[in-house]
Amino acid sequence: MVILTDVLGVLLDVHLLLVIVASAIYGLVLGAIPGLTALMATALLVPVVMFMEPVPAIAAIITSSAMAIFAGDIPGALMRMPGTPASAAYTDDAYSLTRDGKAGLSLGAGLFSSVLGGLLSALVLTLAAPNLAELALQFSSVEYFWLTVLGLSCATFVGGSSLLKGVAALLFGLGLSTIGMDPVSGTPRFTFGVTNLLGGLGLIPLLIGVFAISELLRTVTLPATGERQARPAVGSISAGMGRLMWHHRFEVLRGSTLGTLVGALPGAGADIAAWIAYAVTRRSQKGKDPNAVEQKVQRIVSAGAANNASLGGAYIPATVFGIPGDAITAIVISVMFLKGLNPGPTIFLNNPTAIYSIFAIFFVANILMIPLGILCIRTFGLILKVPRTYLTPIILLFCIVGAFSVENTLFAVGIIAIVGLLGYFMEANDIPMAPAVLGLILGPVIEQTFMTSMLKSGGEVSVFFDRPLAIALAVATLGSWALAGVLKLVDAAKARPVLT
Amino acid sequence: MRISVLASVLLAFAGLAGAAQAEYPERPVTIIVPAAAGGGGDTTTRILARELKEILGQPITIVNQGQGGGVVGLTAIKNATPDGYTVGLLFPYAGYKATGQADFSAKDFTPIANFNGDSSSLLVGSGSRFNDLKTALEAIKASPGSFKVHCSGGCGSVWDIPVAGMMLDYGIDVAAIKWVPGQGAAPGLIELAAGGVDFQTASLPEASALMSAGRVRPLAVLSPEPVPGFPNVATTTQTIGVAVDGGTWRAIGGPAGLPGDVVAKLDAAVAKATASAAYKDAMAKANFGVKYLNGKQLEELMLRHEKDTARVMDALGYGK
Amino acid sequence: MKVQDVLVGLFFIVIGILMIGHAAELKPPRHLKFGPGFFPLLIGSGLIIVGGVIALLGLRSLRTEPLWHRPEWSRTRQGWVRFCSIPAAIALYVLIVDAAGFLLTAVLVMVLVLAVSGVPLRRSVPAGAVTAVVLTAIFASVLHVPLPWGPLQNISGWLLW
Repeated sequence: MVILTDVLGVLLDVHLLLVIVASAIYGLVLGAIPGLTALMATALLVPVVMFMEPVPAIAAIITSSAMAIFAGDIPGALMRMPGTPASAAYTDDAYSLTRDGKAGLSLGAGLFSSVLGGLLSALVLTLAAPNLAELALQFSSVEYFWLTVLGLSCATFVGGSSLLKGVAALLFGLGLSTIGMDPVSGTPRFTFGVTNLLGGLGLIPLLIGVFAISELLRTVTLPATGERQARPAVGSISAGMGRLMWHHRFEVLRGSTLGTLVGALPGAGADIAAWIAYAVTRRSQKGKDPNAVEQKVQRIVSAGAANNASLGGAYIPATVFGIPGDAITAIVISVMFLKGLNPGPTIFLNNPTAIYSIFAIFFVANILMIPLGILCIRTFGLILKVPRTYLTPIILLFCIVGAFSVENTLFAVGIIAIVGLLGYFMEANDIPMAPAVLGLILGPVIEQTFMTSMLKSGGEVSVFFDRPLAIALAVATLGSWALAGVLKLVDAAKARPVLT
Repeated sequence: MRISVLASVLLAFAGLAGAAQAEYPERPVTIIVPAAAGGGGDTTTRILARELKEILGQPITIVNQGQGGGVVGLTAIKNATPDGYTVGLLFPYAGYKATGQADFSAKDFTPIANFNGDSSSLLVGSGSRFNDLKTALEAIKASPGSFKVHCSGGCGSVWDIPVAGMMLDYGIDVAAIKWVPGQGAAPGLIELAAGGVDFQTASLPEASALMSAGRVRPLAVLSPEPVPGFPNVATTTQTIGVAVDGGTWRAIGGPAGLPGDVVAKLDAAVAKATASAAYKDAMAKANFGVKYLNGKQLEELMLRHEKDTARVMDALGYGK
Repeated sequence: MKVQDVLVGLFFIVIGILMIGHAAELKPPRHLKFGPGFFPLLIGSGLIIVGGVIALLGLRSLRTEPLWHRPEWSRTRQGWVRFCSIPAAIALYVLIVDAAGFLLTAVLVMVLVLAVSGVPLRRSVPAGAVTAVVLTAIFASVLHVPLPWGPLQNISGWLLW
């Protein structure tokens, strides 16, 4: 109880509250602009926060990243361009609702599920961080391998109509991810002597190319008459949201749980969390019309909760063991060290006020997201009044700056053009983007965990089945594949009489 | 028409500023950090840059280029215009050669000054049967093929090379050990705590959170004296009677052919910065060691580093 | 541009063959059983198989479908110019930004893309100038993204806040 009053004392500081509000606005603006990402927002904060007091410094990172992840939904729903990669999973669903005149529903569902996902993961973080971190410490490369394979199998549920083209896209994404230094021996692959290719194509430039540039290419080639239709009225955002969230409580809970867990695992971040929650929800809708409003909202709610929940999840290993869950928490950890606020289990004993204040900021930031989020959606609606002719080159410049600021090379700027063209032609030929992106993100992890495990065992495949946790995960993975196969066969058997 | 007007205005501005001759530096200095934001290289450089900004009286721009394990950033430093306005962070670089990623040597850079040094250490999981370095080394010597050592980052780099060098001197067949590469110290520490590997090479600050959690234990640190902040961790001198000094070093360097007055000015600035109380405090708080070396000493360090790395990499069987 | 599935399948097959070809040149270093070529080999083989199936299934409709289907926009020169303006603008940026600086390059990118949409210079130049100055102020001056200053480099110290 003493801690609670201490934490309240910390939070009621005017300076801290100002920092939170300022970084909230900063995060919302950067997140809502296609081409600028949550990672970029955090990375650009580094020089500023490094020399601030520890709690305001970390508050700035928490608030701006949470706001950016939510704000990514806004251009996704209104322009079919996700503001951050974490919103990409449900951009098509959200945009199609907007085209049916339901922009308020789509954005409201995104906002309130983000808030709930963030709050639930903050609750888990506050109550169970040390216990959950303990679980994460049981994972060797073998367990990570199975987990990543399980994540990869989600590709079949986000792949669109043709399973075959979905698998091709997945393999293509995996192939692109092998460009650069091989993750185990460091041998250059597919680099053709180009130094810039040693680091691979770079995930952020790739995602900017695939999601923003390819959409710009589609926009400029649309007949000019289409311009009038693309100005949706947003309508009320908060009306009926309480009831809607209660109606979709299972999806919120599912998304938040998945998001928190995925976030807590090193290597996977908000984007993966959203894809997985999306895929799992999609799968649970078997037999229902995937294009019905109810089903679309379910997927938006679940994935929207997951990407915000993953942010809180990433702080579990970060604060308890100093292990970063993603690039954002890597920055947080170095800021904590710099302030003498060394992460580790002892921080809960030595410095409880600071650590619980940091956790409390998650609650503050997520509650603040409701009014500021609505304000941001309204403002963005005004931006859409700018003629599309002018919006296109402005977004293009943002994409260029966004790619450059994350990688600091002009090479990355060139990548967005090439990948944008590639994405355009893939979409034109019904090759789904989602599996390719999943392959791009998970490819290096799979290869690295597989190779490391083989290296440790001296080439014995049995290493993948000789630890209890590994066996459990292997059974889950292989089981879900077998189940999917059986279901496909059953479907085919059912479908055949109808066809003939 | 308007563009040309704009351009001529811009050029006029530039000419105006250029005309006012002043001493170096007259404009912001860029430091290329071949590492991502948030890592040790980035943090230490930013702490240094804060002092350099005051001393040089110009803003310092930090540019993170961590792609390709640092090769991209180091190449950018090597290819920069040698005018003193683009310098960079140098760190142990000789390991890239054996894996065919790049071939850097001291000739490619102008050494300016070293500002940080951290020792490598050998760690075990809490369940390990080893309690001191000597018994561990004896066991590895007896059957090197049955042990797995995590390199933290890619193998053949800052933390594992000094440890492998120490083992080599101890008479161990290092090529038979299973060296396991990873994506950095933190994921490696999970692997160590989960029992996936037997040993790990990393710096003590990186492992401190899991050490205080009782999940990993340091066997020894490769430093002649105990490391500040970790007085209870045994040095190699205390356990095997051999003084070993191995680990990372971080220095400011420029492209080859930097003018002498620029080097002198920057070296003096780094010397002053590393001696300042603000720098020492910030580094101590974040558990980083302060180690100043002037340009000449840094060059010797770089040459020694190249020779040591080549020797150990050869024994490890790289490039065969 | 939509192409027939046989061509889509062939595309994946070609990528797969190239991957396997490159993978074969990668020797496992030291005593590793599985080297850097192992995963590219697996992925390349997968691409050849899946690409092959896509191409075979596409053969069924090869007679009824054209080999490629040109989208509506590509029938006019204007459509091509619009489509190419995006990659062209990025290429322009990459080529000249180091010498010309971000301010000038951003104006040129804006003017280029706007000109393609028929916006006259008297509107596109001010729009570009405002955008470029605002972006420079936010990203270069406040957030310290190292955007090139070009001719302004000598006075960039005054422009960083």
